[in-house]
Amino acid sequence: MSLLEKNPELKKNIWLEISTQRLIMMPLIILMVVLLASLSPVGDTYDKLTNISYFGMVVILLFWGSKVAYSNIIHEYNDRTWDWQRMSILTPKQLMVGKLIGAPIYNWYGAIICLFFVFIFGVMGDNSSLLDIIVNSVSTVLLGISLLSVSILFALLKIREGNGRDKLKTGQIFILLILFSFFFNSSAFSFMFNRLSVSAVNFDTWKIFSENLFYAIWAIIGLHQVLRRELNYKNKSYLWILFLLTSSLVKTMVMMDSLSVFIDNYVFVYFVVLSMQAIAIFYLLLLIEQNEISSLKILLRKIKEKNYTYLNYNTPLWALTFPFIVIGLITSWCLFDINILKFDNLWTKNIFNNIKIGEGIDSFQTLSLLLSLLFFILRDFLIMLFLQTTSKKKRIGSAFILYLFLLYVVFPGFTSTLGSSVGLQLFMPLPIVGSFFYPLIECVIIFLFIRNKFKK
Amino acid sequence: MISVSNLSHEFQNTLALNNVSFEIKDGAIVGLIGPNGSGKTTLLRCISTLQSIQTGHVVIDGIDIQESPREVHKIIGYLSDNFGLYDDLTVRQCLEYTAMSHIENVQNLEEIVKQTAIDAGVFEFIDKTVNTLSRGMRQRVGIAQAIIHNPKIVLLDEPASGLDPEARIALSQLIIQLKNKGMTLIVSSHILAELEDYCTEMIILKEGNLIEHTQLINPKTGGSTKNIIKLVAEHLSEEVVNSFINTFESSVKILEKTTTEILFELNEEVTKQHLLLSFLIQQGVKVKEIGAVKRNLQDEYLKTIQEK
Repeated sequence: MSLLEKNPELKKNIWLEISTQRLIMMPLIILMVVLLASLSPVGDTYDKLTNISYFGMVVILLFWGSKVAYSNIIHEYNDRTWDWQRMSILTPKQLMVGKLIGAPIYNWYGAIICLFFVFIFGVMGDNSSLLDIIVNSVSTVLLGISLLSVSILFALLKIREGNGRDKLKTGQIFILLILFSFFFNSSAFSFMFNRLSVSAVNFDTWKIFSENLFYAIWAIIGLHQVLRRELNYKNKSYLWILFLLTSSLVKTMVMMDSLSVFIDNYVFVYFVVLSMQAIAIFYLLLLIEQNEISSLKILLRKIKEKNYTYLNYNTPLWALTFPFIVIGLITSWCLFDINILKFDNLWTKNIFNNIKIGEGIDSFQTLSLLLSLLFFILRDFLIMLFLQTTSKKKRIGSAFILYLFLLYVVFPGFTSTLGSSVGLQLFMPLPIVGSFFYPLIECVIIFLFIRNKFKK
Repeated sequence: MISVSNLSHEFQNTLALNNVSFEIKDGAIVGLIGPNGSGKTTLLRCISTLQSIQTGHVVIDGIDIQESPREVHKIIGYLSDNFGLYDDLTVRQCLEYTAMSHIENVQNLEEIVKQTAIDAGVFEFIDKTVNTLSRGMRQRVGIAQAIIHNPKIVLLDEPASGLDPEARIALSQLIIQLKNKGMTLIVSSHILAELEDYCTEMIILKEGNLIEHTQLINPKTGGSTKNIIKLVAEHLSEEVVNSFINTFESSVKILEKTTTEILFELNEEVTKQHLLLSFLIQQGVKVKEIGAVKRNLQDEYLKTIQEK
C-alpha cells in the first residue's frame, strides 16, 4: 500500500495543492531568479548563487510555508471541513503528516528545488565543506519543520475560540508566531541571517543543528498532542512540563556558551531561564489559549471535587506553566540572595557583590521585587479574565495587548518623566521594600470587578 | 439509540444548553426546532463529539461518548450548516477522501463511492468540481459524505437553508429514504413546513432549555401519533368539565377549553374515544361533534413557544 493510500489527508492535500501548471511554474521562477543573480558582477559567483538559493528556500519554506500551513487550518475550520476530519477515523499521526507535508506540499517542492541548487553551487564553490552544507541544509529543514508545526499548532489553538458557526480571520497572529519562534530558536534565526550575510556573527553549525533538532522534535510532539486532542484522544499533562524543563535546559546550555565569561553557575542560570521562559509562554498562552470564564469555572469545580483524572487531561497550558514562574523565580532568588551556591568566578563574585553590597540592595528589597513581579503577572491574568467577562469576544486579544502596552510602557514613561517613584511602583516591579503592595492592591480591585460582573 | 441526560454547555458566558435530557428511539426522524441561538447547533455538536461535554451524559447505541468518542465517530454522520465541502475537488474526490478517512480498511472504494453517489443522487455530476454545483447539489454531496460510512445516526444541521422548493422536496425524499434504510436522523431546521413532511418526533429548544419533546402524526414516515381530540357541544359547564377531567385524569390532558369546546390530548388508543363520549352523554352533555384533530408542526411549535 502506497503512502498516499495509507494517508487520505496527504492525498487530498496533494489533489488540492498540486497541478501541472504549478509544478512547472515553481522551478521556472527559481531558475529565473538564480540566472538573474548569476548575471550580477558583484562577489564570487558560486557563493552568490548558494546564498540566493538558500534565501529562496528560507522564503518559500519558512515564511510562505508557515503562512500556508497556518491558514490551511483556519480555512478548514471556516469551511467546516475540519468537522469531517475531527469525526474521521484518521489517526493523529496521519493527520499530522497530512498537515505538515500535505498542506504546504508546494512549498516543500520549492524548498527541495532550492536545496538542490544550494548543494550544487555549494559544492562547486570553495568556501564551504560538503559536511557543512549538509548540516546547514538539514538544520534549515528542521527549522522549517519547527516553524510549520508551530504554525499549525497556533491555528489549532486559534480555532478553539470558535463556536462552530462564526468564521475566523486568518493571519492575525502570524507576526506573533514569528516572534515566538524567534524567541525559541534565536540562534537558528541568527544562523539564517548570518547565512544571508545579514549578521557578521558566526555560529557553531553543530550547536545550531542540535538546537534545531531539539525544537523540531518538540514541535512535532506538540503538534501531535494538539491533534490528539482535536481527534478526541486524551492527553496527559506531563509532556508539557517535560518540554518546559528540557527547553530551559537547552537554552541554558546555549546561553552558558556565551555567558561563561561572566557567570559560571549553571543552576542559577537554569532557574532564571526557566522563569523567564515560563513568563513569556504564560503571556503568549493567555493570548492564544481558550481562557474563557466558563472553562475556568469548570476547572475550579474539578479542583474542588479533587477530580485529578480530569485535571490531568484538561488543565490549560497556562495553568500548568504558572507554577514554573513561581518555582523559577523563588529558586533563583534563593540562589541569588541567600547565596547558597558559591560563585567561583571572580567576575561574577564582584558583580554580585556590587549589586548586593555596592548598590546597597538588601534581601527585603529583592524579596519585594520578586513578590511585585509575581503580583504584576497575577494582575495581568486577572485583566485577561476581566476582559473575558465583557461582550466583545473578538477583541479580547488586542485589548489585552493594548492594556499591557499602556501599563508597562505609556504610564511608566509618563510617571518617570514626572519623577514619581511611587507612581512607577504602580506599573513596574522595582527593588523597593513594600513595592509589592501596589500590584497586590491592583489585583484585589480587578478581582472585585470580576466578582461584581459575575454576580450580575 | 440516543440518550441525552442533564446535558449543559456554557460558551462565552452564555448557557447554550441547560440541563437537556431526552431519548430518541431507533429509526426516528427528529426535528430539532428553536429560535436562533436556542442551542440547536451546540446540541448537535455535543452529540457528534465536536463540542466537549461539560456536564451531563450522552450515550449513543450503548456507547458513552465521553468514554469512547472515537467509537461514536464510526456510527455517526454529521452534516454542518454549510455542508463542509472542498470547493476545488471533484465530487468523486470528495467522496473518495471521506470514505478513506471514515471507513476502516476500506475495500471496494470505487464501488462504495459509486453506490453512495447514486443513493444521494449525485452520480450524474460525480466528475464535476464542487464549486460548479448549485446549493442544492452541494447539499446532496454533503449528505453523501455524511452517509458514506453507512452510519446508524445522521445529524443534519440546517440542511434546507437556502434551498429552492424543488431541492427541498428532493431533500425530504432523501431523508425518508435514509430512514427506510434504518438510519436514525436528527434534523435541525427553521423551515417547519418541510420538517413536517418527514419528522416523527419534534424537540423544541428555547434559550438552551428543552421545552418540548413530542411524537408527531406523520403518515409518510409512519410516526406514532399523538391523539388530539376536539369535542364540540351545545354547552359545557365547569362542573361537567371538572368531572370529565377527574374521571379520565390518567389518560386525558386538556389543552384548550371554552364553554362549547374542549381540545384535549388522549394518551390512550383513539378507539377509546367512545368511553369518553358515553360518559359525556351520561352527564347530559349535548355532543355535536367529536374527532381527532391533525395539528401541524407549526401549530405545535408556536403553541409551545408561546406557552413556555
